[in-house]
Amino acid sequence: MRKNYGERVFQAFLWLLVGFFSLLVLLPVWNIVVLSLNDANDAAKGGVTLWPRAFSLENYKVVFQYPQIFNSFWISISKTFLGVTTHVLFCSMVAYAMSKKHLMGRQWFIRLGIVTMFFGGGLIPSFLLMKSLGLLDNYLIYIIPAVFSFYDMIILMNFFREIPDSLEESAAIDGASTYYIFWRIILPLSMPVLATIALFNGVGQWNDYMTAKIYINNPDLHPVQMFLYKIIVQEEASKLNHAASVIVMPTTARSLQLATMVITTAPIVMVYPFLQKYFVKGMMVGSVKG
Amino acid sequence: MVPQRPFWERWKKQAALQSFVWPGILFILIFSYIPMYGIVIAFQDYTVVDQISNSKWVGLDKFAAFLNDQQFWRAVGNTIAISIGKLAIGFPAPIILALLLNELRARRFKKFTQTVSYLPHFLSWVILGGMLVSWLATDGILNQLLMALGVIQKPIAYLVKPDYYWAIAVLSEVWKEMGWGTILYLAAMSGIDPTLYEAAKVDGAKRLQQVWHITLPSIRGIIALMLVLAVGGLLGSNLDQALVLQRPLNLKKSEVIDSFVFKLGIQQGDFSYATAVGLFTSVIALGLILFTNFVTRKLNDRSIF
Amino acid sequence: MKLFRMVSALVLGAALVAPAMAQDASLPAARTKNTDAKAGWETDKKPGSVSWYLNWGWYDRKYKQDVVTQKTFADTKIEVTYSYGDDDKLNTLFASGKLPDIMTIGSWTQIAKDAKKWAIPLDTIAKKYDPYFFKTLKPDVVSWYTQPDSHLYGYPNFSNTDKDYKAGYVYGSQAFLVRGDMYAALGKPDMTTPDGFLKGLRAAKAKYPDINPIGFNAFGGGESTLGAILQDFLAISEFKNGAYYDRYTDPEYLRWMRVFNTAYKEELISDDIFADMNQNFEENIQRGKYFAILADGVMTGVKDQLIKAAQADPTKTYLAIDGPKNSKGEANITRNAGIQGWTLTFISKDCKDPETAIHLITYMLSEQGQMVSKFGVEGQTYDVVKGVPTLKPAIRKIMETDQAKFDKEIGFGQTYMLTDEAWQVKNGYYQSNINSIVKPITEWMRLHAQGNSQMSNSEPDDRTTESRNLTNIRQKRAEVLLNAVMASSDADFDGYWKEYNDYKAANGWDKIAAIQTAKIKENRIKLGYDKK
Repeated sequence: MRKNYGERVFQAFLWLLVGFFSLLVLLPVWNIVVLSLNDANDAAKGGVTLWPRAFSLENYKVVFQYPQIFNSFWISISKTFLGVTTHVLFCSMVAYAMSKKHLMGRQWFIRLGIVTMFFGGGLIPSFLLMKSLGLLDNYLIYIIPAVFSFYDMIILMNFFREIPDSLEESAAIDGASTYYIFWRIILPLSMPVLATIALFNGVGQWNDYMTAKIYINNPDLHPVQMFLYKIIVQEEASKLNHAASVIVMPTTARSLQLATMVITTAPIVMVYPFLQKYFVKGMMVGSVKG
Repeated sequence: MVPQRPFWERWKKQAALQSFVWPGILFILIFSYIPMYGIVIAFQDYTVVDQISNSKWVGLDKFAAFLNDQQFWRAVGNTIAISIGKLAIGFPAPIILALLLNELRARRFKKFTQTVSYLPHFLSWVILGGMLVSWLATDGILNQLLMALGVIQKPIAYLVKPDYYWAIAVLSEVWKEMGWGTILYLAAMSGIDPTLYEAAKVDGAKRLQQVWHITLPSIRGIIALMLVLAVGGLLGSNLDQALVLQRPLNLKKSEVIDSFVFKLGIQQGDFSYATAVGLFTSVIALGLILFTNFVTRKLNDRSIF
Repeated sequence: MKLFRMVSALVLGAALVAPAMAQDASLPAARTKNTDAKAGWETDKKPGSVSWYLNWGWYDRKYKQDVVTQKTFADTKIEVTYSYGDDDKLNTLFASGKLPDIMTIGSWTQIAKDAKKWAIPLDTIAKKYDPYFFKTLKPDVVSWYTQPDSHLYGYPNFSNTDKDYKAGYVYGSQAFLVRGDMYAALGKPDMTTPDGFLKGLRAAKAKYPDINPIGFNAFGGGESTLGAILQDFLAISEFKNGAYYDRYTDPEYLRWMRVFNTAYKEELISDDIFADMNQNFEENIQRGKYFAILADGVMTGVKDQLIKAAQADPTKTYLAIDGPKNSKGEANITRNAGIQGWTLTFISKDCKDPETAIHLITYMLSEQGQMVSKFGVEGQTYDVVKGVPTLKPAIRKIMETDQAKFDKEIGFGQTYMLTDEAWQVKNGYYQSNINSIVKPITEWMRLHAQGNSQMSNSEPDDRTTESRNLTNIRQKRAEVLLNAVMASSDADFDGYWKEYNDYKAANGWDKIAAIQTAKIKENRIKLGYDKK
């Protein structure tokens, strides 16, 4: 009974602590959403905090008026899905092999890879490479150059190393091939880290507009984040354009930026809750041993 | 000692594993190593019209230019100070939050908190900056709060006082990225064998003891990995954050390497200068990461690479 | 010519795979016989197409989406494909070795200065295909931009000559604004002298404690309007006794900086003003939260907020009045672009059809093109009333109420690659095209505008030690300047200025000043102020 009481106090304490932190994070984010749902000129008067004072969907209407936006959503969703799937598979294959100490040439590859984490050729050589590979104005620019990341490989490799060798060994004795072990034992055992890498990479894919900005001219292939980028640079433009004093510049209200941000990030934000089932305590080892 | 078997035989035995790793090697050779010739522009006076093939070679001039610039060293100092702050607070914070979440029983609340805590990661700095400025203003929420609590008597203009800048840079980044950082640790914790906890309970271990003796040691490898990678990023800085929060009045403390390069290199169309600085910091970063890896290997008895 | 081609071929090398049409000898034959009696687009009715790159990262517009470009197409039968981007994009274009037909790039950039390596001279093309082109140019601009090889490579927009300024065809971009209702209620205080200025601010603070007595554009990482713009208001020249002059140490300027220091000490300037971002600044205008504003970019960023503020509440209408003046009481000066203009438009060496390209450029530079880009189509969007083009009421209504729609579908003033602002003021057209709320402000800025072309491109070249030193000095200066405003004592104030002077001395100021002096002198000869 006493122990139970202690546990309850402990949980209540945790609840308060975590709750306080959640509020600290949630309130500002909530404020941003509320501002995007408020009439822009009314919001400019200040004082809109937890609930819209003059509710308006005008900001959203304006953003959805861009004829390209639905197509862009499709590009974003499809490239994120395809990109993540290929990325996770490719990286974990390499990482699995790399997690084996006896892999020949392992040290050599590690050295080769670490260098790439810090040194790159910059914009122009990459551009020329993509050009010679025929990836300019090509949807595959989102997928192929993003299929591997040494950083993600290192993380996966460290997780794979935690898996007890005994599991693999017993399968190997039963005559299972390396492919079978990787596909049927290693991958199912690693769902939490695979989900993590998928999330990291998915968010990266979703938020990336640089690739489109440099390599894609065709607006039909632009992802939805290009809208956020454009709306932000248009805001900047009115400041940059100091010489052109009499023209009418499309200055965008802050509310428009906020609405665009909400629209462009909401889909990817909603992915996380679905991945959370992979983070349940003890889920992985239990499922195998059971 | 068992004599090693011949090369070819060993190779054949791990042919399947090798077939896993070669696509990766091929990938970095093509996508990372082929473009690497671009580094040569650090030794040129690159112009857009002349490109690499026709730009003038200037040897180490660009390196001399920033190494002799006092402002560069000021930026290095600020970058390191802010990075250390981010390391000291931003590194343990997600671990602690992940541990708290891991101990939390209320499932729904836990899920909710997890989702909420990673939301700020998605706010772009350009937009967040504008909000931050209002929160930090003299009539902003922070001053109102601190005055209501009696911590301060008069509102403080945080952004124009250089002494507050490091704290603002560190705390705003920690606030933004803390929840996001927990994800990897939660993944690691979900891999811990539950029978370990059950055994500990039988032995009468208290909650905190379980955390200390089971949870933490089990994720030690991941913590070491993240620490090594974070140390490698010591000379990295957040350009977007710096550009949004910099004011002439806090420049003394807010100029970081990336913003320095932005102004003296990028904005002047001097790609060579920017590349030279990048090369310099990369060499140091590589050294740092190899050194930390070496240290963790000694301490932890295993290397992360 | 031959020698030039050999040299340019050597210089270009492999990176720019330039086709052989570098000079007139290799240009394709003209389609029609051309004289300068009629413009090429009028005589040559063969449909053509060009690609046009704009180094404007924000220029998200499509050809023929608005009245202006629809009419351009109807007149010229030329299809245009825009592409746009920032400096990175431009870099990749040059790397790929294939440039679009027409390119619009900042006049201050190294790329524009290197035009000889990648553009065909406009004069060469025009001579061959469209001599009418020369009739559309301003002679002063042509002589300014003609290179030592006696060719004209690019032509600017927003270029204002001394003649334009003298004739009153140019609007400045800075103004000292006050909220009309408060200004009247305070008895229209004189804000031009230190005493009057401080009294005005004090009175405003006393009567309206919730309102900032004075505001400035967002400081960001810079000095906002407290540096060069205040110096212009004080009519301090940057060229004195035959040399570049550092106005930041001028006694008249320091005198006013002390005034701002006093204002700060009396809490007439709020700390937040130094931290605010552009958004905060714009919102504050919209809320009428400033009594006075020393404002820059009045017709770009600030204008929309001024209109919104007055539309929501007519008492919050801002007026332009005389701001801080020097001790001699000389008139305020506001600036706008000089002869250098803003961006330059070139025809690249990769241009597939230079004839079509020059037709389009000639069209846009001509009276007809200027007219279409600012007023659209006669009878459809405007009528000529007493010799002045006047927008139709329906169009005017859209302009005054739905700016987003106006910009997108009507598009006046959005096709500004080759626009000449002075042209429309000269013809008396400007007044009918501007929102009536800000009209009085623009008039003040017109009367106080002065050209400053001698300073064009007078700073050390990019990528040099001097240029980097200047960047560092500028940053130091902004820091010093704001610290001085916030200084708690006169000794502190002087200390900051000493810090600035010491910093200058330690960072090669003499060399920078010498470069500036040389460049200004060169400019003055080009402008005809001085003899060689």
